[in-house]
Amino acid sequence: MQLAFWILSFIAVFAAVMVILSDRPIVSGLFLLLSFTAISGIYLTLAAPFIAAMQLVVYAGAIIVLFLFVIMLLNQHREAPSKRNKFITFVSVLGAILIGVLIYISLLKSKILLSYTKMSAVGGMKNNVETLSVVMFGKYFIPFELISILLLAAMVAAVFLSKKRV
Amino acid sequence: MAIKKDVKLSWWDKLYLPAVIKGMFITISHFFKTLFTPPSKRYTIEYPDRRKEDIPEWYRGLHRLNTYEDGTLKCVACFCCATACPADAIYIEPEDLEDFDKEHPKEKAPKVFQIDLHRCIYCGFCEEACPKDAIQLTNHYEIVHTSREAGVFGIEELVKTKSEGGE
Amino acid sequence: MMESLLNPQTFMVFKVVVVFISVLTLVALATWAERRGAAFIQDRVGPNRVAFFGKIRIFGLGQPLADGLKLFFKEDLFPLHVDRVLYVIAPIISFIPATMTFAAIPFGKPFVKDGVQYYLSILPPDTNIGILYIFALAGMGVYGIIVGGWASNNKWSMLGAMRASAQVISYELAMTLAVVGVVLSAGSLRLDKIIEAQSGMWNVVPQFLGAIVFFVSMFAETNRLPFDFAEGESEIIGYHTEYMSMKFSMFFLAEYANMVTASGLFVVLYLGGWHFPYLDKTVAGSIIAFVIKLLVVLWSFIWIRWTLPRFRYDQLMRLGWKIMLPLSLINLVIVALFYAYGG
Repeated sequence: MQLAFWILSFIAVFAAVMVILSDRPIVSGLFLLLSFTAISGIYLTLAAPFIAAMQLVVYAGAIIVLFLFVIMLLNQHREAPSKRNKFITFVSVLGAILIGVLIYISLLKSKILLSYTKMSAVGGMKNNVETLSVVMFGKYFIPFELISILLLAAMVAAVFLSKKRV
Repeated sequence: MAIKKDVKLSWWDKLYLPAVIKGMFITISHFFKTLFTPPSKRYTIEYPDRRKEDIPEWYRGLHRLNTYEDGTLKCVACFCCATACPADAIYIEPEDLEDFDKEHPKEKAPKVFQIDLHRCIYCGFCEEACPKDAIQLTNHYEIVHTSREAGVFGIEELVKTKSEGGE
Repeated sequence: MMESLLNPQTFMVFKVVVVFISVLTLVALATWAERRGAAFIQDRVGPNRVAFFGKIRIFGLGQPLADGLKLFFKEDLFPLHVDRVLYVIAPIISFIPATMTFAAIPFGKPFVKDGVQYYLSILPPDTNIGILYIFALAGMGVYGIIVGGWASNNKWSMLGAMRASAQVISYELAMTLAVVGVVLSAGSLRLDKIIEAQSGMWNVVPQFLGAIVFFVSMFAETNRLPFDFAEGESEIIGYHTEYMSMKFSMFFLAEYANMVTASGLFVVLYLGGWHFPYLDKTVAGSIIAFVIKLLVVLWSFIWIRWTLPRFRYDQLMRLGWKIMLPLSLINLVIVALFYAYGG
């Protein structure tokens, strides 16, 4: 499991970096797909097959397809190499590394990592879905419904905006 | 240009499924019809195993040079067929004859009469042009050669042509 | 002898080998049945002349073998303008999920031997995601088409890929919602539980709407006629125009493997899986019942292909969003109300 985690996380990070570095939008989209798939594999090693399957169904199965569809619709085969200021590049890479280190330190200090050990005990392989639904529709019922209302509002707004005449 | 028709569909038509099911029954009935027809009665004749029996007499297949009962060629080397041939498939070398005392007297006869079956388009003009009914297209349809030379038929081959079935 | 061989490890290997081989055999048989069935429907004869040793014809059953050999030994060219890496990856992406999805489908009655439970599906059903596993992998299959269409660097191929992606998104929703009804009635995502719940009555009776929606979406998901916009073999050009030999045959195999899996899934979800009166008393009988049902559904794929013409693209979209999606929602609401108040 340890080895699987390392391999999968390496693939995920590598693919995520390649999303940025690739100069062809479609290839970027496919690397994003690879990254999502690797993350779903990590969920599997965490004994959360339901989340893994959902990751694949929602992100890999639907969202990336939409991305690729839009990219192909725009027919952008190759991005023109933009002229970058070397100094700005250097500063932004430095900033990214700094933010990453800060997040890592704050994670170490916080209690989220401590609760990680409890999480797998709660979930387990056998009744993943039941546990999740009890938590979602019990303890976090109101936030869950609020999020769905927010998503619905966003959807209505998107349809409204894309329609020329109402 | 697309012509747009306003077709009013009833609610039954709008369900589409009844029409789909009806169509499926039509196709499956054809399926079973073909399945239970013995191969000898299907539309398709599976050629090397079965042959079409009733080739019509007017079918334009391999040529034949007709002869009289005693075996002499009817052809008098008049070149009518070679002239009529749109594909230039007929080659004739005539020879002069002095056989007026015979049963079928002729002034000329072909020494060489060749039909290049690769050039021939089987139009039947030669048959129509012939004043002596000497050349005739039979309904023999198996014309196969393995080389270009083998496709050039001379007098010996053309005399031997048989028709398919009864004539 | 046989008794000592039956332990969980050897049984697993046995299952994997047998299922993989039988799915691929079914694929080969399906190509044969498609061509012969099409011919018979159109009052033709179809391919029946391939003979083993020049003598044994057996209705042309050697045809898929001959076709396969031909495709394997054909010259494999790279068109100059393709994106080489993606061009090679695309058939693999479409082939692997197609062959993996069948792993979750239970094809026979589970049995107990020496206190050990044996399940007749490759994946142990107690991982609890059964149906989601299939949906997750089936969703990956479309990338083969998208990547293939894009890598070909041919505008018609790319248009085919775009049609495929739009179609898959619009039909996956309706399909999933239809399946939610089944999951509700069984109370579990496990496919073996879903089959168990149908021991009295098959789902196709109480959830007729859902069954129709799933059945139609199944055709759209596997890119079969009336919804074969991705390929459009007869007039609009499809995603694998630039493919040949092995790579093309992988796309081809993936399509038929998807058909087999979709038929299996329809049998499991709506036709009671391996349940059949009197036949499911024994393990062998249950497998036979499942295979017969699967073959019937598989035949319906071929049957419908040679019955219906292709939809127009806007008709496809309207059918997906305005008819299939509401229908599956209605089905879901009916089932939910029934189990909340009636059952």
